[in-house]
Amino acid sequence: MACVNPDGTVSASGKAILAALTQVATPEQVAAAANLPLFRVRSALRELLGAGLVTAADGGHVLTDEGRKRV
Amino acid sequence: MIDLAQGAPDAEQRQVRGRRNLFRSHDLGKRRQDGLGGGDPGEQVGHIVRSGERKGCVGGAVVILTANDDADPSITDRAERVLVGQVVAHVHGDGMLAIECHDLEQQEYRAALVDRRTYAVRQTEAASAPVGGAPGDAQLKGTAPIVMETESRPVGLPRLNEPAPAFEAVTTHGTLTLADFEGRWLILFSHPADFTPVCTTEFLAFAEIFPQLQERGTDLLGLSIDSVYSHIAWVRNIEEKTGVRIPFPVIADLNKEVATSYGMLMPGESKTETSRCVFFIDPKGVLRAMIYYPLSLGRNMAEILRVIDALQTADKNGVATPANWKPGDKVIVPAPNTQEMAEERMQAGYECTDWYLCKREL
Repeated sequence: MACVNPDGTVSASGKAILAALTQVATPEQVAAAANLPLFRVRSALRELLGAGLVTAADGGHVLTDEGRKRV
Repeated sequence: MIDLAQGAPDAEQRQVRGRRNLFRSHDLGKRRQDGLGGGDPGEQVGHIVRSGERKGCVGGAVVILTANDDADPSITDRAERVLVGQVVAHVHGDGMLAIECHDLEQQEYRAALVDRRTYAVRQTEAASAPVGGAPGDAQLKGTAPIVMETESRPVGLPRLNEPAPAFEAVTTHGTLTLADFEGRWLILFSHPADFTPVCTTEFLAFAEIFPQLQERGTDLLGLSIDSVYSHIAWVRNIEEKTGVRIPFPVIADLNKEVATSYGMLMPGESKTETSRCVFFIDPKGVLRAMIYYPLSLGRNMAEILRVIDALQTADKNGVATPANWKPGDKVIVPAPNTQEMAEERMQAGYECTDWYLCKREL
């Protein structure tokens, strides 16, 4: 897990990605906002999707209610 | 279709002992006695059945292999082994598929070793205890869990200008796929092992050119057959001892899956360590260049940067690059392929040695 720890807490990079997803954003936009490599963002989004913290929407991703609690 | 199946100590005896082990001998005359462990030294422990029949093992699995087009019969006879009982298979980077079996009934351990360059696992089926059944019967199909690859890629070196082999791998930066790098250039490189001297100098050197690669829209991704914990410990140790932070992810390829699909293992050098390979993958995921170095030779970072520069220059300008080219040098205008174009080329104002060798400034 790159951004969600085994105990369910979110790493610093995970939080940076979540913070960039208060509105729908593409991976490229998230990478720019979080200052992370695009490959890291794509990988993290898969993980955050699996954890139910973000959801796909309109060509990008956005926080779920659970994700908002973690920001 | 070729089955990998059991050769009993005595085929008839095994059948009498019950078909619970279900390994009939077929074509025994061609078999050689061989074993990777377990079983009596003299017993015939395996053979390949040249038929379309399925073979199975109690509580284990049916493993059906197909020979690739270039299957070598001599390898066939050399690579075969036995399956009994529960089956676990894993891939060796040297192109071999190791299949381990444990016969719960007879407490024997046996193993299969199949050359993946010649065979691909076509199908596996769990086999529940088919007492009294015959090999190939539907009874072999069951629900017993097995750990087994169900498909395998023909092993060999990847080819230039073809899509780079896809992967999903655990890395020091999380689970990454090849597709995660889409839209950017990627340099995928392997090193023999963590905590080794030449590799450490290389990691320091890769870290040094990392900013230059970033300027070129290029990501770096390392790989070795080590665990992610070993990678983490090593990169932390490098930082602690040298002050250099390793900024790129490193694949922990313990099952050699990525190494095998990229042909990173050179059995003549090592069957357990990847050679020093460098793969240049373009933003569309196409393999554009590759370089292989032996274990003893640390890579030249200037050359790696030069290759990226040359590939990007060629793509951007539709040109080629001459020997020892470096950014700023003249480039080669692709040779004309008609007589008319050859004549025009000589009038085009290029610096031409002759019609087929013309250079120009960018």
